Amino acid sequence: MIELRNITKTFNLENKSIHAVNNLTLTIPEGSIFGVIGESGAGKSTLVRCINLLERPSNGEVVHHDVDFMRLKPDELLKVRKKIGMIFQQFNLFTSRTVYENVAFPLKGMKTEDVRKKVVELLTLVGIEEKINAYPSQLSGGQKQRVAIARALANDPDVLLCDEATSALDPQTTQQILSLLNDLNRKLGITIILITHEMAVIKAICTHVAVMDGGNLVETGKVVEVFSEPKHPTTKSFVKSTHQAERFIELLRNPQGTFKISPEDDILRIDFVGSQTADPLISHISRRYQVDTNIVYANIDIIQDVPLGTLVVILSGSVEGRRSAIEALRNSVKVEVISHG
Amino acid sequence: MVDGVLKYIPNLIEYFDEFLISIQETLIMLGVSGFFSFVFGLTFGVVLVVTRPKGILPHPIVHEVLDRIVNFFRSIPFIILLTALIPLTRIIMGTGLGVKGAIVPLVFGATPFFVRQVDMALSNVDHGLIEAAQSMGATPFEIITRVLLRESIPSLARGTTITLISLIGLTAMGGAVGGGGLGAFVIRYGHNRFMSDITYVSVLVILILVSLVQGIGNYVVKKTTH
Ligand SMILES: Nc1ncnc2c1ncn2[C@@H]1O[C@H](COP(=O)(O)OP(=O)(O)OP(=O)(O)O)[C@@H](O)[C@H]1O
Ligand SMILES: [Mg+2]
Repeated sequence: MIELRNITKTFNLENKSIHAVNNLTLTIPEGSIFGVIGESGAGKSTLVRCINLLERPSNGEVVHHDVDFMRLKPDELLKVRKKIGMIFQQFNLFTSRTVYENVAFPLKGMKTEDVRKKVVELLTLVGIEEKINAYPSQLSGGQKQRVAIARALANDPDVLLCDEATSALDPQTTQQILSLLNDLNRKLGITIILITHEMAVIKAICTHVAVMDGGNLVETGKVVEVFSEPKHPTTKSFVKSTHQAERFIELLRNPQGTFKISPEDDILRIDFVGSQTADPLISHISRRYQVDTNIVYANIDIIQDVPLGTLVVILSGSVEGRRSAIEALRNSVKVEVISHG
Repeated sequence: MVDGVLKYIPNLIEYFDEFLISIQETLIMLGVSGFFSFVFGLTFGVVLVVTRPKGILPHPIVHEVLDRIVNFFRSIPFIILLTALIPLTRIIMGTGLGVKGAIVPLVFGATPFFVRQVDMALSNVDHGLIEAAQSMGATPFEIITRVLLRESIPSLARGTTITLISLIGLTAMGGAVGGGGLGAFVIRYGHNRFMSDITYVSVLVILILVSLVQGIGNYVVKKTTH
């Protein structure tokens, strides 16, 4: 478990000070894959760099296994850093060193044969053992990140910090690296802290998420909970960014649009989480209240094996029937009436 | 055939022993001053880079002072350095003349130049690599040796090459004043006694020396760039 307590980081420039992180308190559970999402300049990188004190917080405590990093002597801090791996957007491999030498870099002081054994083991773990003698310039982005991951894991850390680790990769490679991180989290039990500005990354592997805005923590919790009921506008806009429901609704509302909605119809947005399945429910109310239901939009996200669904439904029928149908729906799912007929 | 060539270089043949000694002196001046310039230049260059405000061991005073000293010596024309340093040379080498007398001013002339080369080379190392090393718990000393210097070997080789080549030029000049090496040889015979064959052949030797240094430099750069 990592606890960030009242972390503030202020950069003092000549003419002004920038509060990159503002009195932020956060608990990162052991073994979690913890996503930090926020727009550019929100302070994500600064926050994560405060964990291994690459950036020394102006104020606050960074507590891991009951040790406050802020109180460590310089040489103790160097030891602690060996147990916190870090990977970067630009991979940051040593260009003058082969893959082998890169991964061996943090293993200084070990016997050569032990180093070799460890390096081969790590490269096998990340699936790139055949490139052991290549130079970074001979590798693709995804391969470079695998090497960087192997290097970050060399001292068997219990935390891995990832600063936009997939932002320089294409979508397919991103998926591969994310599933590698997921595997490592399961196999090694390593806590992963992952910065991103893409919802897709959070949805793919994170168990927990923290949403940052302007140096502040605006929302945090389990991914499913935060994203099934986003509260803060920033969180909402991130959720919006991943599916088309909002845009679709705009389209429905547009009188010049492709959809011809009769003035007597209701338009509903239905959100449901997990085992609530909306489909039988809808056919059920349709029969029971004698209304026609037309599902014009459907989207299901799977987050941490939990389905999160959104439907846009056009309801037509008698006024009474429609009202009862909506009430019945409200008993089991979240219903938002977009327009009343 | 050989006789035909020899016909054109009568003076060189006459002073051939001195010619060989001059080449040897040039090489000694080059080697010794090159060695010290490299060591001092590398040391000061590293200090300059790491003590920078955004460096790994920021130290504004050390940085500022060193930076000014380097600029000061860089702005003095070598010919002035030669005479101005004579008292210091006498203290260090025991003489202000000959090969020995030339070495101190040569080191003073080449070191600031090489410091700038080192400065440029190390500053070009991607800051991300330093961060990566820091995140792995590397000490500042390890970052200097295992990241900064190691990553900039090709640029350092390039900097060493041009420093050596400019040092060859300085050597000819320094020798002319102090009395040693090919520069002095050319002044003594080629210039003062109008033995132009001596001038031409000496220039040829210097040209070969420069090409050799450049060639080796290029080879090292090529071998170390990945
Ligand atoms: N070393 C620094 N000196 C001065 N200001 C800085 C420094 N590092 C970051 N900042 C400022 O702090 C704020 C937060 O930066 P940070 O890099 O943490 O944002 P981020 O959320 O990681 O953004 P991005 O998604 O673009 O990487 C920004 O306004 C940035 O300009
Ligand atoms: Mg960032």
